[in-house]
Amino acid sequence: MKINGREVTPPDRAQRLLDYLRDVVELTGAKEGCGMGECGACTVLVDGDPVCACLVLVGQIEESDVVTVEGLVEDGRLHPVQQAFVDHHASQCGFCTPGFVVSVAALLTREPQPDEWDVREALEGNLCRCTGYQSIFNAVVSLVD
Amino acid sequence: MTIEDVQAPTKTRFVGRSLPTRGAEDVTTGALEYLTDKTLPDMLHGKIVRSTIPHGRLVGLRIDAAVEVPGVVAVLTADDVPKNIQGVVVADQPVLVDDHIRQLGDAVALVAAETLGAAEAGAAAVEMDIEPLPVVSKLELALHPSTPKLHDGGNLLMELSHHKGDVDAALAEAAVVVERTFHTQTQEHVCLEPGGGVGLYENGLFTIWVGTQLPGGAQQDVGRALRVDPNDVRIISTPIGGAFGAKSDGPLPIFLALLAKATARPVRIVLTREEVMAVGTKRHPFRVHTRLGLDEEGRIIAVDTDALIDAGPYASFSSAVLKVSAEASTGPYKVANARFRGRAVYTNNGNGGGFRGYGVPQVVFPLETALLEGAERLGIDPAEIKRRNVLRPGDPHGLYGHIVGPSFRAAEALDAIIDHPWWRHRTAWKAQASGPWVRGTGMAAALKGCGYGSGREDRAGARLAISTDGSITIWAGPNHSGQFIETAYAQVAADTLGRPYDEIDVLVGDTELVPESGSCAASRSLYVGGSAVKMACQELMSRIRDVGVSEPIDWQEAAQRLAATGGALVECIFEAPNIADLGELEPEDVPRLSPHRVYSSAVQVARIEVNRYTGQVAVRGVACAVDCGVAVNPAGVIGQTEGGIIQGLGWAVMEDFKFAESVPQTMSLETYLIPTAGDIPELETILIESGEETGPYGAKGIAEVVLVPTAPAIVAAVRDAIGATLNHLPATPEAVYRLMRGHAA
Repeated sequence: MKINGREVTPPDRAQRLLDYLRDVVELTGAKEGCGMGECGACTVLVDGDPVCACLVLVGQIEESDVVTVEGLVEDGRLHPVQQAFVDHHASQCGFCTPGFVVSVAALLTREPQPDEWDVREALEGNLCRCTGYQSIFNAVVSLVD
Repeated sequence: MTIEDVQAPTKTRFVGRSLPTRGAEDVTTGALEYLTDKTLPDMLHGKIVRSTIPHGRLVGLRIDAAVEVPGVVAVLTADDVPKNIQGVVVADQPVLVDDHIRQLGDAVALVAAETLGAAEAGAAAVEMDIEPLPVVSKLELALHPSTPKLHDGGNLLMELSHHKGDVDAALAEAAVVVERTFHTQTQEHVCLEPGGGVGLYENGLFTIWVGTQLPGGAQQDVGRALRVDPNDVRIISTPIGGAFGAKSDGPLPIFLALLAKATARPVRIVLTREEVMAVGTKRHPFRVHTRLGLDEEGRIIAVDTDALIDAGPYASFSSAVLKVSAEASTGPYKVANARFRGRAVYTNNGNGGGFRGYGVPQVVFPLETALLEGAERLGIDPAEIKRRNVLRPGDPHGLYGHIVGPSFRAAEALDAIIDHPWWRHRTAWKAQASGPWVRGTGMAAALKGCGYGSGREDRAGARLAISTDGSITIWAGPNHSGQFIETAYAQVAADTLGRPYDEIDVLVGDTELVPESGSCAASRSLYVGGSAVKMACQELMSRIRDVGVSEPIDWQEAAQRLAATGGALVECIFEAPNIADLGELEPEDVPRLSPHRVYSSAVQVARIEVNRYTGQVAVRGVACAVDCGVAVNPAGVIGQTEGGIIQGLGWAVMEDFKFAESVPQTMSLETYLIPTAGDIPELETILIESGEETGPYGAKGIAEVVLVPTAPAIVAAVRDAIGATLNHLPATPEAVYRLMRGHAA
């Protein structure tokens, strides 16, 4: 398994990916909001697809390439999605933000010119209780030509 | 006061700019460490053993097997709590149950272990013998003589009554009387971070990292329960992954302190979603009986409100919620005669507590819905009837009669919504419906006080230090719980000092460093906390002048001169002013009712569609005019407004925390639904600025009032669409479907 480009060998195949990331690899950007795949706060990319890390055991993805929200930062520079969230006030408490950033990054890789319904569909698995989503939409729209 | 009067006195002028929130970069990269992310060397994991039924007697408790579980380090019960009581306002809840179980999930024991798995195994090995008792599940029966008593004093937690004028005589004379009973449901906060923290006990001192809106309250609670000096308890309370009132109280800081002391090691507890759903505080369900009297011109001559509210098993903030309900029960209107009776009762249902809006939504929905019906019966346009009654600066408050202050702009907010295209084009909107949809438009208005209210010594503090290199650090007031209040504090400080915003450090959320400042709640943080920051900055400027430094200021020189005179550290306390006049109140009413001097208001228009076959309500647009004084950070105000509207929308059409015989039925995000990106209408925020003379640069708090009009505006829009009115929330497809069928029959 690779995490943010680094080769790793998880010691416990039965561990949830979320616990492995947070407790072993010490990447705490992915958050646990519900533990049952409803809130999306633990979204990470597994081979490019957005996945809830609370629903996956590391043994299921031993050959996969995992990218977390921390892994989107390149050479210390924010990923364009991260910068757009800053610029558009798309975080309030921020606990859901890493999950949203990952979901948006996945959407824009898959569909660089999404329409409104693509965006809504891509983000329906991520709950935000603070912003009312409008500022998050604004951030995404700013990244689309 | 005009907008010119509140201009910042410097060229820099950071107030009024939509600066990005401080620390947002670390939020987006995942680098920000929330308190539930925190780990310390040698840290243990804590788990709470909870009751499995909502009402009973704990007759047996055996921990021997739990202690033997490998990895378990400590198991604590009620016997291990020095003073087994907690509660910020009314201490009516044991820290750990020793006898009477009053809700599903009541804490019975605490386990600390080397791993979370061992803690869970230890918790599962604790054996409880519980004798069930009949539950108190029905609000209406809670005060019946044959209902079991949940507390020694009975099931009436609090009654609050007040009246102005002669309501009965006015109702007898009214051209129209609307009399209805309304029901509102339990709402769960659903902070994305369920909650938790880390406790540490070292050298006789406690350090508790726990997300709380009221760090001073946590300090007191820990001090009392452990019989230690609260000054020996340091609470580090930020950052918080959402709060909305949910993180104002609760036993978690005490649990962390108990386990840390018992084990002499750091202990972390992270709550699960299910635990928070079971025992976390919630928005109180209300049953409101409303009688509204209008004269022939549509003037409100009487409002009579009788509210019965479900406090659940423990007091939490119910008594304060009732006060805030009373004050909002006449809405942003002139009312000649008004009466309020509110009773908060104990049940075994969800624990009512603080939740954004704090009892205001539950009384404004009835008032606005009744006013709409009254207008229809008189043949008066629903906007026009608001215009005829809306409170303006200098008018007496509807229930208390004290003068509403000069910054109040409900009339202008109302005009902005009346002028909004969604209101003006409501006939066309309705006519253009197609397919299964019928369309409607509705409007609603509300006010809410800023701060704790009069007679409550509503204070916040700020401490400012200027280092010998001239740099400025400010430790300030109510902490961050999602609004990045540091940004606004820094904007206020920058303009008061006349220095660039980036040169000012602001830190919040640490009882060791920040003067006691009360809660991050009650639409007060920027109003009182920002005022304290401004005072501290003004005091520094005054000292700089006193040591002979003149404009343009050489900050390094100023700092060195201040250091030499002992003036480099400033501490100021701001106390929000009480009402300017008593109106029709007696002096003793002031602390009893806590009337506000400063109100913000919001008026909203909602345009919706109803599926005539399924009853689904699809909200298509909500515009909100918000009377905010001055927007210190307009993007922040807009963000709070949008978030408030969507929480109000959730309460209006989908959120419904259900109980069956007091057993929670919606304990996960699979069964308790909140709005997603797919549910969001077009949103628009209109800032109505004035300038509040007692707030920093004219600001007042708005984060609660923006939630309030959404539900009544949506219900009014449903009425416009289908010609029938819901007297209860939420407007689920089932509820609206039944309403349509009943109406047709």
